[in-house]
Parts: sequence; structure tokens; C-alpha cells
Amino acid sequence: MRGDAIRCAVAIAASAILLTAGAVGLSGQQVPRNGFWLEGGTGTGTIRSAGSAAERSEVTVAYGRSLHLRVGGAVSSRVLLGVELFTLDSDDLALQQGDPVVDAQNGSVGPVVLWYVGGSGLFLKGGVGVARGTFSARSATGQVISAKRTGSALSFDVGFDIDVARWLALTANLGTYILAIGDVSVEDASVDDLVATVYEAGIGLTLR
Amino acid sequence: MKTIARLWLTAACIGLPVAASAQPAPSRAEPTVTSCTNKQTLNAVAQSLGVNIAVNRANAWVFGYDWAHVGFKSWASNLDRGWKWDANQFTTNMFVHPYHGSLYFNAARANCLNFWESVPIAFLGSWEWEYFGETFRPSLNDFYMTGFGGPILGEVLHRVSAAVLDEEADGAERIGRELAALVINPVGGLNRLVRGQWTRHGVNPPDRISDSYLFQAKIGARRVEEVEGQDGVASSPTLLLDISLGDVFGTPYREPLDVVHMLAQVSPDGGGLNLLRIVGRLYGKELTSGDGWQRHELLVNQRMDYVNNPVYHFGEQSLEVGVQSLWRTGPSGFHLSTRLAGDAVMLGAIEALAEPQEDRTIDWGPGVGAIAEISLERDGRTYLSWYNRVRYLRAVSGAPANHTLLFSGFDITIPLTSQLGVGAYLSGDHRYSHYTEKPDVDRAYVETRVYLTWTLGHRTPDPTR
Repeated sequence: MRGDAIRCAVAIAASAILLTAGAVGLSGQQVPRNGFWLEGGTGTGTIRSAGSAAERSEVTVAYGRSLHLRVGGAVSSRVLLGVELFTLDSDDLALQQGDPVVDAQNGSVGPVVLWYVGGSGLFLKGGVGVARGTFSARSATGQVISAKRTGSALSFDVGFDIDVARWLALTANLGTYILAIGDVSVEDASVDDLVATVYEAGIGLTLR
Repeated sequence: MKTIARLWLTAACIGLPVAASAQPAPSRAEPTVTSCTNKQTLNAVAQSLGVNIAVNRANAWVFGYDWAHVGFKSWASNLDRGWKWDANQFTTNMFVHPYHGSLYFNAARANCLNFWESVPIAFLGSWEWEYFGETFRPSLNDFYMTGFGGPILGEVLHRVSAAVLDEEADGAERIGRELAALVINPVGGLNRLVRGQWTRHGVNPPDRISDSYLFQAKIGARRVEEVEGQDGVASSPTLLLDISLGDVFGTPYREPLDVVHMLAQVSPDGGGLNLLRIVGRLYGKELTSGDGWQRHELLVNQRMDYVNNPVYHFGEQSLEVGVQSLWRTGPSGFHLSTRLAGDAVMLGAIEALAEPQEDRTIDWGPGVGAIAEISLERDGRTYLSWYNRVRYLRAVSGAPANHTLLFSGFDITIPLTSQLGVGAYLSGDHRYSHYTEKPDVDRAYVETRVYLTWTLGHRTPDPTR
């Protein structure tokens, strides 16, 4: 119970800080990205697998490498529109507790909206799109068996542009991707109604 | 638990008093319906939280639902387990949640945030509710429906309530208008009440009533049946409300949902509210000069569909990209209007016929589609219309399945006077569902309506006439 309370408090506090920072910044003036912009970045993250019937003890987590690419333009003084490609590769995901691990490549592609909050370079990002999950395992005969599923994706980020030059910024991101993949079954591993949740921290470069 | 409840109650009381203290009296030049200058983002965030606390506490204390008794244990469990698809009733999933989202959205609109700035507040409110407002595991379909449906429904309610309000009215008329607006847009109405705007005399916003609007009520009978099916026939009286705000060619694009069309159908003993369709222009760019015999506009629309009739259920949140065209036919003022568009279905919902168990009543999934419409119109009023829509949904909940749906309909209205008319409607909807682990399903449905129409409206004159 005490652990739960601490976890909740941390989660709520983190959310509150992010949201408050965003909310306060909404009154700002400047847009760090004008016109066409391109952002690429890499980082690390976790993917959480929980099927429709999963209890808390059955949730599995694996770490992986992330990559994102965004391109777009500015539609108003604080709002940017773009398209994002995101992937997270993990080689030790158990779809359910007790299952053998699989290689998992999960990602999404779709439109994103960025809201710049204030002139500091802080932005919030929301996106919707298509999710893609590829899960691979090696069979007893050594053959690689893969399951590929397509679904729907939502993403939310908070990011920060740090000016390097007028046309270049270093961009930090903290994000979550909700990837609704569906039923997955590969070799001896399976999960029903997989909705994978990815948390990602990354850093990249933005050309603007 | 009592401590938590007290904290929640305290927080619930934060939003509106903050609004009261922080919002200065509006200046005479300031107020508009769709934009105002004094953005109160923290108020919007606080009020969306207040909505959740109020709804949660009402369900816990008034209705005594176990799921509303939340606390650290349920919050930690939800944070651990993350999203799933839920098995709630279709109405709850596809109408109640968008309505709930409209409350969050209008908490932001009431605090001067514009459309795009208010959208994140809808998602924030939904996220709070899904993780912290229920003991149930967070529902991804609810998050979609609340986050995407809330803004489009909320913007319609925001604009309709603004049209009902009259800052220059006094006495009983003023109170009546404020009460009506409160019913239509509760969060907006409460903000006005707390700020003392219910009785304050002022200047009406210049955009209070859209340049072009059309309100049409249709009352009559309807019949819906499954062709060669087992679900039988349902006949009932019916009432349709058809509301258009703005006009694609009469209203140059200014902001999201400056042109919006809503159709709702209520049929006592025939599914209650069984149809709600909203299509709003997110972006538009005219491709022609504006004074020719043909006009074409590139459109990006947001679309919400909710069909819950006695024989089938369908719903979606989608985005349309296409071209709407106006083809002048002669000096009579009649013109043809066509719309061709492709659709990206962010999330669609259809009955899970292959898995009718209690734990799976709906197949959820993204998809694509297309739409082709043609109508004969004059002064914004539609006399004949014919539409075809096709949808392909790929289920990501439950057994793998692909659903192909075709919706076709024909509508005719014959005017009797300038405001009254008679009309009829016939539609045929077809569903083909392919299940990888179950037999395929192939069904067709027919709906007919006959009705009297009453029309009230004003259209920007067609410059080509």
C-alpha cells in the first residue's frame, strides 16, 4: 500500500509538473521552429506488454533502443503540424509472464501536432496514426518465426529545443506511445489484445 | 479513504472559484464566441479536473458504484497494467464518452482557449478519468472517443449555446436563455454563472450567430430492418435535428469547425438517441476564384459517427480529406453540391458478431474509407441528396477480423411553404465481416423514414447568382 502511494504520488507529481509547465507556457510568444523543419533523434525506452486479462503481476517490461523522425511545418505562431515515424527495438520482451522472450520491433507512423509553450523551446506533442508490431522468435529448428500486426497508435511527448544555431537545435524528448496491436502469437509466446505502452527518452537534432 | 475523498472534494471546489476570482469583467470590445483574449489555461486544467471529481463523487456517493471508490491501490494498479479495450454498452462507449469529453473541452473554451488549445485539455481530462476516476483498468477506446469526440461535439455545443445567449436581453428572457445555454453547455454556463455574466448587460459577440446557419427539425416515422436477418423489424416515431453552422463556400476558412454539420435522430422505442453524425471543417482552401459557375474547395474534415439502432451498431472518429464542389445549374439558384473524400478512421467500432460473449461486444479498430455525395440545393436547403460511404476496419481487439461496410442513402425534401415541407429517406447499409477464426458474416440493413420538416435558417447569398 505504501509503495502504491509513492508510485502514484510520483506519477501524479510528474504529470502535474509537465502539464503545469505546459499550461503556464501557453501564454508565450515565440516559435522556435518556423516554416519547414526536420527532427531526428534516438534514445532509450521501455515497452510494457499487458494483454486484456493481465493482472498487475503479469505485466512484462523490456528495454530497447528508440528512433524517431519528424518532419513538418508551422501552421500558426505556436502550433506545428508534421508527420512522425517512431520505432523501438527490444530483444528481450516476454509477451506474458513465463513466456519465452521475443525480439520485438514496435513503432508508429502518423500525423503529429506540436504546441510550443512559451518562448523557451518547450513543446507538447500529440499524435495519432498506424501502429506496427513485429515479433520474432527462433524455433527449435533454428528457424526465425515472425508475427506482424498492424493497429492504431497514439503518442504524447514533452520536448525541449535547445538552440545551437539559428537553423539548428538540440532537441530532448520524453514521450509515451500507446500501440494497440491486437492478438499476437509467435512460437510458444502469445498475448490477447496487446496494447503495448512505450515510454521513451531521446535526444536529437532539429533542422529548422 | 475518507481523507482521499476530502482531498478530491476540495480539489473539485477549486476550478470554478478560481474562475470567479481570476476572470476580469469583460470589456465591451473583447468578447467573441470563437476567440477571446484572456486565456486562463490553469483554470481550464483545474476545471477539467473538477469535472472528473464531480462525476466520480456523484457516482460514489449518490449512485454507490463500487468502481467509483478509487484510491492509491486502484491508481497504482491502473498505472501498472495500462490500457485495454472495455466491454461497456455501445451508448456509453460511443456517445457518453464524447459527451464527457465535450465537458473538458468546454472547460477550456470557457476560459478563452481556442479550438486547438482546447483539444489537449480534452485528452488530459480523459487521461485523468481513465487512470484515476475509475477502479477499472484504463480503456483505450474511451480515451479515443473522449479525446477526439469531445472537441467536435464540444465545439458544436459551444457554438449553439453561444447562439442561444443574448447579452442584451433582460429579465425572464435573459434567465431563460442562460438556463437553456446551461443545459446545452453545462461547463460554459456554470462559468458564466460564477462570473456573474447571467445578469450582466453587455454587447453580443459579433460572431454569436453564424453568417450562415440552418436548423431543420424533422418529425415522422421510421422503420429499420435487417434484410433476411434474424433481428427483425423495428418501427417507431422519430425526430431528427439537422443543424448546419457556416457554409463551405459562403464562409471563408477562418478556424477549425467554422463550418459544421450535425445530424441527430431520437426515436422513442426505436433506440432512443440512435444517430449522431457530426462533420466539421478543420481546414479549407478554395481552389477556384470564387465567382465562377464551378467552385471547388479542398477540405480537411473531422467526423464523428454514432449509429445505434435496433438492428446494428456502428461508430467512428475519423478524418476526411477531399474536395467539395458547387456546380451552378442556371439562374434559378439551384446548384449541385458534390463531395469526394478519403477517410482515415482513427478508431471505428462495430458489433462483434463472431464473439457475442459478455466480455466482447464490440470490435475496435482503425481503418480507411471513402465518401461520395451529391445533392441538389438552393439557398442552403437540400432538396435531393444521395450518398455512398465505404469503410474498411481492421479489428485490433479480440479475434483478428476485417470489416467492410457500405452505407448508401437517398433523401428527398419537398417544400410546402418557406419553412414547412415533407420528406422521405431510404438507406441500405451492407456489412461484410471476415473473421480468421470464425465464419464470415454478411448482412444488410434497410432504413426508411417519412417526415414533416420545419426549417429555420439564413444563408450568405451565393455570389454567383
